[in-house]
Amino acid sequence: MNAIVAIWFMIAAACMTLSLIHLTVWLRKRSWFAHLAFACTSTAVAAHAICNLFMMLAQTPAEFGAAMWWLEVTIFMFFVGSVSFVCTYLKVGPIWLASLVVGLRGIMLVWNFFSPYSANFTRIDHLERVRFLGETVSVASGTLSFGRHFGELSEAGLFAFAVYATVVVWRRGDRRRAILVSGSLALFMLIAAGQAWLVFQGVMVAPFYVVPTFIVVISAMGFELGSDVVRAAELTTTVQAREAELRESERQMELASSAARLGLWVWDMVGDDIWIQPNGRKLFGVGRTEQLNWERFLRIVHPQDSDRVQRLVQESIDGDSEYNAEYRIVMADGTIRWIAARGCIDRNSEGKPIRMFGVCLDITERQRAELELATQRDELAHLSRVTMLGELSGSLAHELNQPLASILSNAQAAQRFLARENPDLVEVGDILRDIVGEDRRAGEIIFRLRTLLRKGEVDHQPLDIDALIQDSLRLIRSDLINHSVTCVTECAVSPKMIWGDRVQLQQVLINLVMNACDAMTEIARSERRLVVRSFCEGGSCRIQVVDSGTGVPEDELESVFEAFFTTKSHGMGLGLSVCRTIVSAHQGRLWASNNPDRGLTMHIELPLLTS
Amino acid sequence: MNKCPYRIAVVDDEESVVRALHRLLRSADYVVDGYNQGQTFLDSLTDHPYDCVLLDLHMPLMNGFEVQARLTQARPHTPMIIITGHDTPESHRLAMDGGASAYLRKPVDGPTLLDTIEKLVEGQPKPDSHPAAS
Repeated sequence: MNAIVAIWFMIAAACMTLSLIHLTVWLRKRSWFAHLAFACTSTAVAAHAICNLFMMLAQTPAEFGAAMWWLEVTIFMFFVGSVSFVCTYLKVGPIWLASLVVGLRGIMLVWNFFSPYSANFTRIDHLERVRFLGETVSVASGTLSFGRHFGELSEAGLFAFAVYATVVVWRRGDRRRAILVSGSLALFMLIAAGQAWLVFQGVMVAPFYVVPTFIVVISAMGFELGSDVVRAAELTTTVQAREAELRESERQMELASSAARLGLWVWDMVGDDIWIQPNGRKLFGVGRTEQLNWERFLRIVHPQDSDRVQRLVQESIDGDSEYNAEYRIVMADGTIRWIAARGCIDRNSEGKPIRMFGVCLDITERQRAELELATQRDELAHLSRVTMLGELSGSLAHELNQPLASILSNAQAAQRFLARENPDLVEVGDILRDIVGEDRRAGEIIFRLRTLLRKGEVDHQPLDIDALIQDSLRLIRSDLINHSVTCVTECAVSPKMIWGDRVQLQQVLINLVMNACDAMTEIARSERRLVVRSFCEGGSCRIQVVDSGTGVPEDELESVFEAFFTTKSHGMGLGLSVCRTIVSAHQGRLWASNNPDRGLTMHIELPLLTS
Repeated sequence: MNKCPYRIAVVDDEESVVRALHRLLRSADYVVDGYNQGQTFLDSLTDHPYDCVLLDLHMPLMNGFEVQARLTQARPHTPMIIITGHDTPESHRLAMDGGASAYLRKPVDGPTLLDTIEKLVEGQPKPDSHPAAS
């Protein structure tokens, strides 16, 4: 084997290797057309090298002509491949120029089919033997064909196309690609076409040795494309790693949310689609594949809570505030579950809400426990109230006795007046009016007592705190007298409205006043003074029950609210503990402080009712 | 019974009770003065001698026992009828030990009260006349 054969075969083998690599890439990724174009170009160069070799080794004009005939086919392939590569890889046109170049080369190919000595010769007279790279090779001598000019035009076109692409890519800022891909194509196209022209013009008596130069173009293209493949592979590896991390993160999130019984959700407000984690779907009784949107969600929400949920969502949208709701849902089997949901709004650059996302939590058990606790609290409050009223029974009986005494004496006086010969009917009329009034008063006392003794549901309503104080003091007026306590009320700025249960708050006030009376039994009667004061402070209503008793040691100020703590000889020590529970259930506070001079002040703070 | 106008004082913090007892006693032709506070009643003693006093125990500022003690001191022979709605053995004992002539529970039965008053004032010297009652 001589040097030419070795070099030309090596070129062909190298090009075919590159071609096969990129063909494989394209077969695996069909949308990467640049690889197919490169494989085509590279195959064309490989085939070109073989044909070129056969031409140099030809012994007869017929052999030379046949090799050249096939050579023309490889050149057409090269044109198609390289033009396609530039278009798809560098993404430059113009398409018309690309089509023109390929079209001209196509004419050359068609011409080639009708000529036995290729499109370049109409006839080959003889082969000249010339020295090339230390070897003797064949060079054709004959009559040139007119069709050859189409080849020259197409070569000029390909050169122009490559130059144009170089300029465009250069201006785009990708100078390396401009030089390596389209620039090298233009340069070597110029060299190849120039050498061919010189040979055909008879200026140069040499074989077409330009083939090795094309390995440079192929290498440049292959290097760029290969770099992209490597980068894509690296990117793919990175993406896969990120995806793995994301999957792990999602899995951990799912585990965490599942352990916390939380369900993450995202509501695409534009497309009205609610995404929710699998455990969230389970929570709402929604199938894994079932589509969930706002309407479907509202159908799951308990009818009595539906309006409230819609209102809260709207408030969150309008006020750009956090969505915070507790509502019931009705499961397919009719069971009711409690859900706590928190969320926030995501807006676009124009401030329009596009997404809402958050978490939801099953709080059924908590609600059940709270309900049981509330029931127990109410029962304890009732028990405490009954006990308290039991302690007050003597005073209450006296309070009820007063109107009864008045009624009886009035009635008997009336009987006596009417028994006279000339009864004073005006007097009798006054008596009857008093009887009616006193009867009503007795009825009111009984009604208040019955209300306090009632064991019913807690009934929260707007209450005027000063009216509540007066009602409470009226009920225990007798007890205050029994204890020789002078009671003063100081109510600034009325009415002060709060939201609460009348019975329970009266219970608290009566309890505090009774305690205050008990605290003053040790001091002189003339000094037993009780002040019940009410005023507003910020958004709260404050009530103070101030006694002039002996007070409580500082370290016991908090202990007095503990269950079973008592300083009295009677009672279970539940009163203040229950009072604090009641006030807390009204979102308020109850605490005690010693007065600067003497006695104790009990403070109640309740939120004022806003409109 | 010849009821020349004996003068009776009714002391009770409850306005309606005072008014009712006032009427009942007037129906029996007594002259009646009503008081809502013990101190007011005691202050009036310098102006009016009373033939009988109806006294409630359960009153603010000055309770019935204090009034009873001061009345006994000021007018040791004036009959006192205690009327109370807060009846306990202790209060009954204290009232009777304090010199009460009678102890009645509210609501007070009219005939019983009038009988008690009548018995108590019978032994009293019959007043000739009294100024108009309040």
